[in-house]
Amino acid sequence: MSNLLFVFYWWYVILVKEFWRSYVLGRLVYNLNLTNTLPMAKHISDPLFQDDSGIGKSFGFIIRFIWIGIGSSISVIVTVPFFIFGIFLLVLPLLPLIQLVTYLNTLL
Amino acid sequence: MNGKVLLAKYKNSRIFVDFGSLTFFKGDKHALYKLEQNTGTLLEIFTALLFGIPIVIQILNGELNLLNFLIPDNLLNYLPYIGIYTFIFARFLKRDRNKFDEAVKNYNLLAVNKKIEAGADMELTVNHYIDFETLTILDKALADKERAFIVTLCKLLTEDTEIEHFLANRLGINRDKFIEVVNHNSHNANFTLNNAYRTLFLYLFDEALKLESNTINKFVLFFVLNKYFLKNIYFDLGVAELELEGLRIWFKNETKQREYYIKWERLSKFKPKGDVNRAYTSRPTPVLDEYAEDLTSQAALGLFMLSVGKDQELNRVVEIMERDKASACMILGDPGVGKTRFLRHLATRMVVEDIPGRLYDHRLLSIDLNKILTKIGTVDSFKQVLQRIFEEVRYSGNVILVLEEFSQILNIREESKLEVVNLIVNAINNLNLRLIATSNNSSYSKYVKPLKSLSALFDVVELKEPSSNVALQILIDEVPRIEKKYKVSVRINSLKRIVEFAPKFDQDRVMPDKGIDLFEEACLAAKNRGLTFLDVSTVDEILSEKVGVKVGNLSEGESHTLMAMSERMHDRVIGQNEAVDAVASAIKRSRSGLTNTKKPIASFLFYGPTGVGKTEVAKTLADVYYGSENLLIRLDMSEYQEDQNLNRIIGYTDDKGNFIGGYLTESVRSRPFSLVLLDEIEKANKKVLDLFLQVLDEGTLTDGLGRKVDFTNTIIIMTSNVGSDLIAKEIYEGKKYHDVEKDVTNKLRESYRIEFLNRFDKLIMFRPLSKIEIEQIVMLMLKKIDDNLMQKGIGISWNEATLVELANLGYSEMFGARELKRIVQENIENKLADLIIQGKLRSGTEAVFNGLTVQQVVN
Repeated sequence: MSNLLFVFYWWYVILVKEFWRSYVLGRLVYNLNLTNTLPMAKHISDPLFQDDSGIGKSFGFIIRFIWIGIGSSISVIVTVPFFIFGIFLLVLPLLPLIQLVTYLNTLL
Repeated sequence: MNGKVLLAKYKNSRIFVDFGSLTFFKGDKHALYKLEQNTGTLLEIFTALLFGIPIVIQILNGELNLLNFLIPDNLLNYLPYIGIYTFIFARFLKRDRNKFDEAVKNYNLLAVNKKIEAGADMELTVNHYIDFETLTILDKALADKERAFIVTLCKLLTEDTEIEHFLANRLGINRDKFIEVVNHNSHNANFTLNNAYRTLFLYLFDEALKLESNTINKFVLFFVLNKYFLKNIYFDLGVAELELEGLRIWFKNETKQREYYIKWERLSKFKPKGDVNRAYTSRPTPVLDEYAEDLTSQAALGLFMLSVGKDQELNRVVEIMERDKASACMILGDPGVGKTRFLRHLATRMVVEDIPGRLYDHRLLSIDLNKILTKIGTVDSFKQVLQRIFEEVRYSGNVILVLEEFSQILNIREESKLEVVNLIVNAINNLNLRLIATSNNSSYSKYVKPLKSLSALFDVVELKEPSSNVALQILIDEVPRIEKKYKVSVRINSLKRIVEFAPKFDQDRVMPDKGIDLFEEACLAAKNRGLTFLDVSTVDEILSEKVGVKVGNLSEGESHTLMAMSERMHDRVIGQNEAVDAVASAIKRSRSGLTNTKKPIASFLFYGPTGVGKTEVAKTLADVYYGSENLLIRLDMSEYQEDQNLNRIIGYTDDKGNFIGGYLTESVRSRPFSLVLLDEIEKANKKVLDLFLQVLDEGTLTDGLGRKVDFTNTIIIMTSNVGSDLIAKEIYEGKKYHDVEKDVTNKLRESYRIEFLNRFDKLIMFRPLSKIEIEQIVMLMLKKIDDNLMQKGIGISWNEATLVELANLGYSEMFGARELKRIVQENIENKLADLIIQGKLRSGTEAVFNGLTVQQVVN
């Protein structure tokens, strides 16, 4: 029995965890970096090209804000399929149980 | 062996090996693993059936509706859900064992070791850190009761393709031969489990730490076996300990570089492609972009380069660059020491973000000021461009500027130089720049050091010529590139030989550059000869061709040459049998590897009367050993009687600051494989002689520029006439050679300091020549003339009277046989020349001498 439980330990702790780490969160961070969103966010209050004038600072903030919005949207959209698949992997071992309960309910 | 066995106590911790778990599968661990894989495949088929059967049945019933599966209303429709479990189970059985072990066991040997070193009280079981592949090998070896444990372990381990590749391609050992020699040693008591287990498991742990590995893998096992059990076996197979160590370093470097490369592959994509940083906080740099080379951008685009053994220096540069204030550092190193590679390594580190956070997204831009000056033409325009470059660096905010060969720009007119210097000093002080300058040692001393205001701004980081161990690592690092380029496989022993010999060539350049060049040359030669690998014998051949001297281990052919050395010398040198034999023995000792390699090959003091063959022995030795009489560097010590003459030997800097090379040091630098003959040392200044104490003792001489000149491939011969009267007197009185030698040695001690005399390998006495020996020399000379004339078809003959008369004329007690050559020229060669010019002596004729007269010319 403990060996059988070990299978589920392997499924969640190794396989699913690794998938989330590499393909969901890892991919999201990678995309945020690739779209330059993270460096822009880190420097959101800094002006562009060291233009320290009032207009420069405001302009810089607006540009960065828009950039972060677009960049993070793209990153999230690209990550969505991986996210859905991650959820699927999480619930996969539970599906038979849920359906069993549903099936038994229909019998009753 | 059963259960947990304590291997050792270390600090507050105890290290165990658990034989219970190691022998649990009774040698079938791999078989069980295969069974699991096959079961997994069966379960996958079963899963397909569980999914397929309900669908097929629905199709057959003509009521296929996939929605029925979403809310199953009968057991048939529920079958695919059972299939989910069989699928999960199948994947579990077919999982990647090593990856699985890594995740489950959380290998963290390095972290655990840190705790142990810090004094934590722990119990560490070695097998918890052994990976699946290695556990399988150990399990099988432990189950084999027929053969000695280590023998089985070797057999199983070398079945692995990567280990076999190491043996065959790097060490040049065939696996079957290796196993044969191991089997031959199977009765070795150290190979049994009882005697071997403690060393093996304890050093597996130790070796993994040394290789900076978190797991004990097959390579760790391989290196432990090599180091602690198989040394003698490798010795029998002709593999030296240093080669095994080289292989270990090779593996360690390769593993580290692979990790670094993976990191680089991931992070290089994030680097900015243009001249501003990713957060757009920096400004564009149009002038810099025109003149500079962007090292970080090149590193990001693919110029991945690491320098070996310079981590300390690199960290120092990073530390300097991290400062808040203006930071400037000067990288000093001789040409070929690896300055460019060092900078490329820094750029690579910047790309993989192996630097402090505040330097992320910085660019490493390199400019060559000399090239800019040449391109622009006038100093005024150059200054303007330089000013704009500095301002761009200042305002960009993310540039580290490299000024390559910085010192050379100061080699301009004095007034322009001061202006440029002021510009640079102001830039560093007022503009808060981050600057790295590079220079070689001599230019730095000549141009930068005297300008205190400038030199004070730089923190100097010196790149020294690498030690032979580090040089070997650097060559190992170059192997993949060179193997790919020349399509030959490189063996460790060839690299070892290159590291050993490369420093002796071309003393104007330093390692590793010249080592790499020699390595490439050897690979090219191997390729041209159609060889698929480069081993030590090929390197030896190339080195021998280069210098005309046999290098490397004694080959059979060379052994014969050395064995016949004294005979060849006796053929040329008449008399002086004792001296010739002593010289030949000393040379044989040197070539057999019995002598100190840090000293000259041999050093002799020849003493005795003038004109008895001392110089002739030296010339003969140069010819026999180095292959040519031209490889003799001769210094007449009567020319070095004053203190200041010292400079002419080692070189000096003249009033204009130019270095004038010394006769001896420059000769040896350009011809390191030569015989150095110092004639009549009794006439030299004492200080000049003291100079040679270092040469005889350490095999080096420091020249006027402070460079060490290598004398370890020279033979040093000094000649002296001290004691010649005594030698002549006692020999004529009939005393034996060795008795005379003793008497004269005392006289030598009066003339030279003991520590000077003791440094020679041998003090060799030359005795006066007898009349018969003089006649033999005359005979040799006449034969030589005859040989030369034979090429023109002319012959000469002589009689006893010729020999006697020439010997009488050519020998004097004061000058020995020194005049002999002149006498033969005057009395024989001149007469023959007259006859040839007169047409009396021509091809097909022979001049017959009677005494010193040409009696007749016969056909």
